[in-house]
Amino acid sequence: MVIVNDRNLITTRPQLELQIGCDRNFQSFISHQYAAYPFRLSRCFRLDTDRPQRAYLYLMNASPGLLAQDRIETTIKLNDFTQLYLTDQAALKVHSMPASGTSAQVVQHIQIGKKACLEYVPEPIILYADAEFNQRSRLTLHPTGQLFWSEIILPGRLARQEWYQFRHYRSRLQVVHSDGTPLFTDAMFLAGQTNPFKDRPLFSALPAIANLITVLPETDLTPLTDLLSSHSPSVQRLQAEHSRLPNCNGLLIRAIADSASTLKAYIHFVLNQIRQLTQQALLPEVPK
Amino acid sequence: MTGNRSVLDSRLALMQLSDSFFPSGSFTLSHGLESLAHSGQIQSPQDFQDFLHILLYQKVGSSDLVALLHAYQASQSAALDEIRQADLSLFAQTLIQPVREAQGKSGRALLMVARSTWPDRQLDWLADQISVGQCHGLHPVVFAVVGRAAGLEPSDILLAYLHSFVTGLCGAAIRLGVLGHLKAQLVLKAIAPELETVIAQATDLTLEDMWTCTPLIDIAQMGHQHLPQRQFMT
Repeated sequence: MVIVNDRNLITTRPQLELQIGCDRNFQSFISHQYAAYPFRLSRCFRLDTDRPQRAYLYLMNASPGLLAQDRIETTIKLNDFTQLYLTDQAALKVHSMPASGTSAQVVQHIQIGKKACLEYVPEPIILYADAEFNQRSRLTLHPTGQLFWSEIILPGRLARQEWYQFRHYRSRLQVVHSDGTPLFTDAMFLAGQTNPFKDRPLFSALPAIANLITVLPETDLTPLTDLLSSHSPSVQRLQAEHSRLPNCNGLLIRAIADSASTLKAYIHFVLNQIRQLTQQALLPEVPK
Repeated sequence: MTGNRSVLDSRLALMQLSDSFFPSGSFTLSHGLESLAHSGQIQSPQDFQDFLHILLYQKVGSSDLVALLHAYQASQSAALDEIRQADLSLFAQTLIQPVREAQGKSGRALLMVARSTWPDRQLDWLADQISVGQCHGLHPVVFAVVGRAAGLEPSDILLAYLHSFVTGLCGAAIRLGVLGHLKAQLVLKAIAPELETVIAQATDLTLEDMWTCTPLIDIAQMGHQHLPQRQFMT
């Protein structure tokens, strides 16, 4: 696949290739990595004190953010029995693209092997004025693989009163079984400047949007759904609900909030509930 | 004479199918309106109109109607696998369980009534597919095949679907005390010119392009099951 990024560099490789393997003690490690501009990958941290099998990795982006015509591709593979917590260091800023018709694109290919577990907790996406951003993610999940996926979308630099001034944000997350059978697709198109509902309370009273997805095969989700239902945050700051996903044992959680920090705290809460349910160590402090 | 008769049959079928009297069970759906009315987030006719517009433009026109149109075209060319594909794609993209279940229930209810009203091989095939678990029989997809079996043109079937959706929601708003009967008629009149725009949006999209973006309404639909008392399925 030919990739053209913001430096007009033509390459045949994704900017990031990452493969996680595990040793005989089931400790996950980086078995293969290749990172080209704008990415760098941190070393592997062991933040769980009890059972340090899980690898904690930071994806570092050396660029100021996404610019017009950027096309970023990443490939991540979790081999069987591996565990990875993947995050980044700072929000993804999608900068202004004054020339109409230009956009930035991110394509992610992720494979999760047998009994492997991916927790993907990136920082928010901030859509600057005149930004246009398309994101496609394809996750291939082994029937016993576990997934926690989160994203936060901010419709502008809210602290500067920049509000729905971007052009659009399009996202398509497709999750398939390892045999290629489609499980579910979460596809979203968020219009900015032309959005007729941007000032309607029923659409944007709480401006920050989060989508959380978890797939936990062989786990009874009822205790988790009961806990999430009984969690009652202030509706002025956060609204969230959950639903069972189609074709798999998983949950979709939609949340809207007054700020990214409220959503980050909620994501932290949900992930901890999942870890408790699956008898894993609670989320440690992940320094940033 | 035969031609006039055929047009008349088609018009009558259109009215029959889009009539809220047609027993497809869609009058049991509020699409999150009941939750939002209960929490006080929808209180006025203006709030209801916003709700209706957001649903029409950000979900029905960008997802349900796309699957419906795809299934209709497949039904016209007897491409049965394509009908199934429309059903499976919409199912995989309808991430809210109560909505999936309601779409399936009302689709199967529609199919049951339609098979006796407009006997057709594809309707029988669809029933067989549902019974063996190869298809979910979601309402928009069944509606498309029923519309084709009843001899409706694509523009008519799309209008019939939207009309029945909008009148169903106005009925729900009346029952919930958000709208009065007279105001409901004004809402229906005001929304009519926009239905063509919603249809145009749907005709530009493929199954791969389907999307939704109704975060607060999604949350209301998911939370509906927790209401202490419910008049509606969703």
